Amino acid sequence: CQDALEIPPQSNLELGNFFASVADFELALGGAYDVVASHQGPSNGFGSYFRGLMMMGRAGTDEMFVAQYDDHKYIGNYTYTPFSRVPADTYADQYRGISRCNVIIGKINENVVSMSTDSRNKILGEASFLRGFYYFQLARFFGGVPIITESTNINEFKNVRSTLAETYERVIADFKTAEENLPVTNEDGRATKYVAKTYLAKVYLQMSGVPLNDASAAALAASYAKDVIDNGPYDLEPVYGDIFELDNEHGIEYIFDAEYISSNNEGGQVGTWDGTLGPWENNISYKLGRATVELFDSYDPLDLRRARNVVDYLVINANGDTEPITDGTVYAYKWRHDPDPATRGYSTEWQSPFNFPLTRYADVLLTYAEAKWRDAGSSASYSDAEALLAINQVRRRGFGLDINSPQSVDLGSINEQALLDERKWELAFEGHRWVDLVRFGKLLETVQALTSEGSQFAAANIQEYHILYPIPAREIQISGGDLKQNPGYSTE
Amino acid sequence: KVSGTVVDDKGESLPGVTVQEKGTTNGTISDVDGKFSLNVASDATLMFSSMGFKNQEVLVNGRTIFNINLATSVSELDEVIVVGYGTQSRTEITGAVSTLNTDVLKNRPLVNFEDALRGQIPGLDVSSTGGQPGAETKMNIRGIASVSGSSQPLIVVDGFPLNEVSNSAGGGLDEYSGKVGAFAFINPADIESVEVLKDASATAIYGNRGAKGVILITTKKGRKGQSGITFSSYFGVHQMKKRLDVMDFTEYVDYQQTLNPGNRLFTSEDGELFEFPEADKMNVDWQDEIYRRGAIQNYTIGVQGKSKETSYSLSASYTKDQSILINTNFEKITSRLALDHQFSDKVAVGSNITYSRIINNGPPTGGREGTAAGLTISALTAAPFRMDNNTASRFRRAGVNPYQIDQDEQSNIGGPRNLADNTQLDKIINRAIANLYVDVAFTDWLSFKSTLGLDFFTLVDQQYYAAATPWGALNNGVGTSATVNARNLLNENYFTLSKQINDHRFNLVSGFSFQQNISDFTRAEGRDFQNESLGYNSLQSAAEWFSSTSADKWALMSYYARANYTYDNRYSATFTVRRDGSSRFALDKWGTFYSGSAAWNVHNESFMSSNNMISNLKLRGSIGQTGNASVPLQGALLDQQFSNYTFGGQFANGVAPSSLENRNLTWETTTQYNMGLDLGVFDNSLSFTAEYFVKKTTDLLLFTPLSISTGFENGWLNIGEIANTGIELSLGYDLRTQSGLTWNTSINMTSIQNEIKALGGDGQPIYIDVNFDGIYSDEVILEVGGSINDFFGYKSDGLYLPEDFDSNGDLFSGVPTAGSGEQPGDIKFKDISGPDGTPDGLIDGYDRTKIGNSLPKAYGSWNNSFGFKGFELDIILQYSYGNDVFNATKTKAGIFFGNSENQFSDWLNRWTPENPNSTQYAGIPVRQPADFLIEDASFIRLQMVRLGYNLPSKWISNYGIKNAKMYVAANNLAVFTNYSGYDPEVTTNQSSAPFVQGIDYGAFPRAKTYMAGINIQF
Repeated sequence: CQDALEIPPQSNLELGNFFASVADFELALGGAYDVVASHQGPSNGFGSYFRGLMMMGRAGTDEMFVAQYDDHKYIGNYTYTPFSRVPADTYADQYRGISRCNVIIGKINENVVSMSTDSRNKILGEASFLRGFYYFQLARFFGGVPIITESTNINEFKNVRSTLAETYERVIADFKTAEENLPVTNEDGRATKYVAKTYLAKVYLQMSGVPLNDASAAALAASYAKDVIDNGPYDLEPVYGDIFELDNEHGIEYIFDAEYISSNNEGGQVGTWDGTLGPWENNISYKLGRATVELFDSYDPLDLRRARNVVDYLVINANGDTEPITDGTVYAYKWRHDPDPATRGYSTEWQSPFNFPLTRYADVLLTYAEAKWRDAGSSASYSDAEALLAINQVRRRGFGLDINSPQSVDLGSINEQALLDERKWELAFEGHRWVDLVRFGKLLETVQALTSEGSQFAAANIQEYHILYPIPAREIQISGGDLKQNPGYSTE
Repeated sequence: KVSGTVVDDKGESLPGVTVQEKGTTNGTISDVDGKFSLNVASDATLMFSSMGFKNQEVLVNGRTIFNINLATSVSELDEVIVVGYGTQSRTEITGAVSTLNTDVLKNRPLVNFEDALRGQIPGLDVSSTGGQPGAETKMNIRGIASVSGSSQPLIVVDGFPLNEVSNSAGGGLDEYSGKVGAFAFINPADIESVEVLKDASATAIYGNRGAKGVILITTKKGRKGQSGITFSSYFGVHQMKKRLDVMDFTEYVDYQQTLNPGNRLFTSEDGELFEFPEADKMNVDWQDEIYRRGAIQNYTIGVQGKSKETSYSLSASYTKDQSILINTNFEKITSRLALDHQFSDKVAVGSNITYSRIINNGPPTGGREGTAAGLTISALTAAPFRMDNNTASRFRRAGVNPYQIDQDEQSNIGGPRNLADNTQLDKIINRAIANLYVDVAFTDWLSFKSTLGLDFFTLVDQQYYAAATPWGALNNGVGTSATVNARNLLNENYFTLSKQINDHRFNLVSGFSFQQNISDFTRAEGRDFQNESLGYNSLQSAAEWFSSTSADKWALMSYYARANYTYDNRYSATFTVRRDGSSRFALDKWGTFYSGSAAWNVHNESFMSSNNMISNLKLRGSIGQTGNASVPLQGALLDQQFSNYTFGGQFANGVAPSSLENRNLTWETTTQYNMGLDLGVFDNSLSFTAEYFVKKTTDLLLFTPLSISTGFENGWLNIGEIANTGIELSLGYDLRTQSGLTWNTSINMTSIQNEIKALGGDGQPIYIDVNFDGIYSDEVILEVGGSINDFFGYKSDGLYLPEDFDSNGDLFSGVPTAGSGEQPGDIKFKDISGPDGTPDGLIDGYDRTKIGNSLPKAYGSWNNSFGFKGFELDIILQYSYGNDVFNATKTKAGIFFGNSENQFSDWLNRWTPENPNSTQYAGIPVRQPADFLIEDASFIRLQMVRLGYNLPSKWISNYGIKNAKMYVAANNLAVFTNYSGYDPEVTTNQSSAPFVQGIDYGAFPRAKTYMAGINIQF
């Protein structure tokens, strides 16, 4: 009769009766992926890619500044503090994702449901990949962080930061589990074996630079990138602009995206948070993220990627007519909405359907070139043929040339500047620039050199310690001081 | 079986006299005619007792009819007191139990039953959430001992614990609507007695729900010889007690010209002020527009009686309360049937069935800001004119640009009158409660009782926000319709053993109970209405719909026993144990709660027998543990909610944990020590009771802020400890003169010290965001060594004066600044600390500190009843001392920020170079909680004055009327306080922190009410 007291929640799925089938695991995976896109959830979209990482990887660099709203501008202006919402919510969202993965991995390891080895491996692989992904974000933006790998038992919870090296070890371990277990092909939007390999290359590359400077990592990055190039299912999209067209989001170059659609409250703000301003009703853009004039000027005028990424005109009506900007400023305009609200089919307020590419094949090629260069000692004139081919294929495509034959725009050798520039031109506004500058140890000098309108605050405010964002003040407060702040930020 | 009539020494029949078989708990109470009947042994002794009369003992000796004449005196010692699962005589009571003076119930026209308790019971703090009819009343017994939810005591009506139920299905502007107290469903006229159980000895029988104290309500039953009809009715009017002083039109123009020169309604592009010769005709005080004279009416009819085996009590009532706020009305219908039948010598069965219906309509009053502003605040901040045609033409004549006038007309949709007229919040609550029992008396000392209680509750909450209101405008009309259904079932089974052997008296109760509650919720919302005429009745005509459903279920299973032993009416001891199992917890479902207590009736000792002065002297002591299990149902479990994603452009459901698992979560445990002294002298005409208690609550349930590394921002944990230490004093005096003048007076005082002893973890303070406004945060701090409801914020240090500024108008270095462009006359906040723990010249988060506390240092009441030849005069004063109120209304109407909102007229007396002696701030540099918002809200309230007259029986007896009383009364006639808001006794409902009291954010003003009524018995 004491069974009368065993009452599960009536309208919520409870852990005790959840994870009863493969379908339940798939539902839980859906929740774990959801944090990647992180739209209007508990943190109102300030956390992961919906807003936070669209700012934190991009603004405050030589590609973008934030033009409006104090609580957005501080990212670009380096005036954020441990109390600032965007980094704090971004930090929180990664852990929200990690805790979801921890539950799935714990349950799959408990073998609570009998299932085929393929299903089990796929679920374990995807959850491990996502956990690695979230720790990778934390490591890049916040440094060494507390590592939690099990479903939280609140009575035994300890909140202590691991070192950066330990945090990267965690990332590598998770990505390797993912690599071993994931299938080669999977539903679009989900991780695969080659997504995991791509991320292993990216992690090792980041480890090989500032601040960890792990000398042995570059070779590993190169070898993973090579594996993806040689054996992976990816290739360069023939036309650069096609990568960012709404109807081609999962084209040949696609590896892994933060995914959005325009319905079911699953829209994002890609191309609306930045973009050009139109005067008609339902403005396509909030024009919050603006391109720097330095970026525009740095492109070779013949480089077709400039016209796709940065523009010096406004779209002024539903026909797509434009007019030039006369005040010398430029706009980031990579993801392009149908300018006509009538045919667009979605509101651009909160429901932008554009995915945000987290990595794509060109990133792998450039990763490979950089990893080889680093492994060879970061020389001022590196001319390994394979590395050159990788970077030159990206360049050739950028100039609209045949990628399989030598071209006039080919580089004859690689150096630091060439690698940084090619990544900037190719991957503009895709969330790489800030971490690239950090990895090369160039963030401070690059930002200080900015002079264009909108970037002067960043140039004036940036300090050496800004290669890491602050641990949120709330976390330090709750830890009672166990958690230590990153250097440079006030202790509370 | 005996029966008879009790009269006083003037021959008037005496109702309410306790008739008891001596040495047992068998007893009854005389009816309105003084008649009684009781089954007793033929050799028994009958004891008659009543407040204000000498006890009388009569040997039955085979007789059946008794006409008793009670002599005036004062002795309440042998009253029968209702306790959990039974009754005890006053002598046997070992714990702290207060009984409400039933005169309060008989004589007062009670709109809300809570008003009868206000200040009357030492240790019971009753405070209103506002003056809205049917508004929840916050009650706590012996201090706030929990931070997890409300401190509301357990309310048990005729043995059935009633759940708190919500008055709102949420959503819309109704977010902060309160709960409906269990009392709201009771007709005060149905109540026979009210007992308040305070210490562990008294409440341990309620186990894991006993920690917050228990209020026991017993309703009336039919009695023999009393086949009669009672009718009562009253009418009343409500009036605003106070207006708040906001600027009138001319003053507002001055304010706009000074602080908002860009307002083109008053100043031209060239900065020239327009002239308004008819300013007085344009002026509107919106308080006049939305408040009105309210009215209340009540009718109650009762029929009761008893035949040989069957007694019945039937009643019905109707109350209509039109409050002082326009369109805000409250209607209540109650009906009740109590039926008791003696089936055989040994078996009795009965039922008590009530049905109540509450209809509650009105626009939103509290609430947030902008589009969601409530009426109370917007009546203060709306610009003091109505842009109608007349006013518009006056503006035009003054030279204002017609475009500006049009703009202002459009912005009028936020006007309070428009909001009141175009917003519908309609609620209907139906509640039916049925209690059935069977009582088997195996012998004269052993009986068994089994009860089945059923409680059906339905709330229909429908709202419509027309497109002409700010909230509705966002979505072109918003309508919602929501229903809450709840079913609560309780089965109790217990044995009672009651036996006297020589001087040894035993009373044992032991039983088992099971309670289960099931509820469900359905809500539909429609947005975007092309035709608004059907409102919430036709949500399908909206362009967009949303719907949601949810369900809850919990169960409680318990075993309990209590043993009471009394020796020679001198020594008593009580032991109680209850074992409770709750479905709310995952692992620690079961808890056991004990108490032990003893009492010494010193006056019954032989050495006291020669003492004629002391008629009662009793010492009591108790110790015990009780629990509080009011944690949300999912608190212990990792529950999953939908968190969706898209794969390859296809929408896909996902789920994710929405709360942290804590399978070890368990109840709060309260350990309480109590010492009591009862003293009566001069035949108890003077009585005194003192209690001292220490109440320590450990394993506090708290929705604790967690490190986000857990994946969650908060989680339910058992952390911390709170202690409440207090004294309760009450003094009563009963004067009866030969001339027939009587005066019954009592005064009581409660003083409780609250201290947070521990908060778990590393003892970090916990900041509570009361959430009345998005700009203000962390208004309350929980800190070890502090107290519940410590307000937190900046301290002021006078005003910035010209000498603080250099010739450029910049602050001299060394003068603390928040860097917000301070001006002379602004509040200067104290620079208390900085990042290094020392003052740093900056006014920032480090300078915040404790700035007040809402808990009173002492509270109580002074009650007086005078009687003279059929006239009655009652005067009740209630007081509270040392409580602060956070006047959050000032954050809207007293900040002088210079936007177009109107403000308190305090601004007119602000500091200026021309008014250099003023201490009134002209502005505030930091828009955060600060001490200028904290006010001492100590008060003395003239709660009730009533003058009644009992018509002489010779006037009325020809009409078949036994008794008739007429009265006039006034409730809440005056409040003496320094608090600047509408009323110092205030707590706005803020869902984020239900235990936080004393926040006034647009609270509904409390009215004063004048009433006249009659009570008639046929």
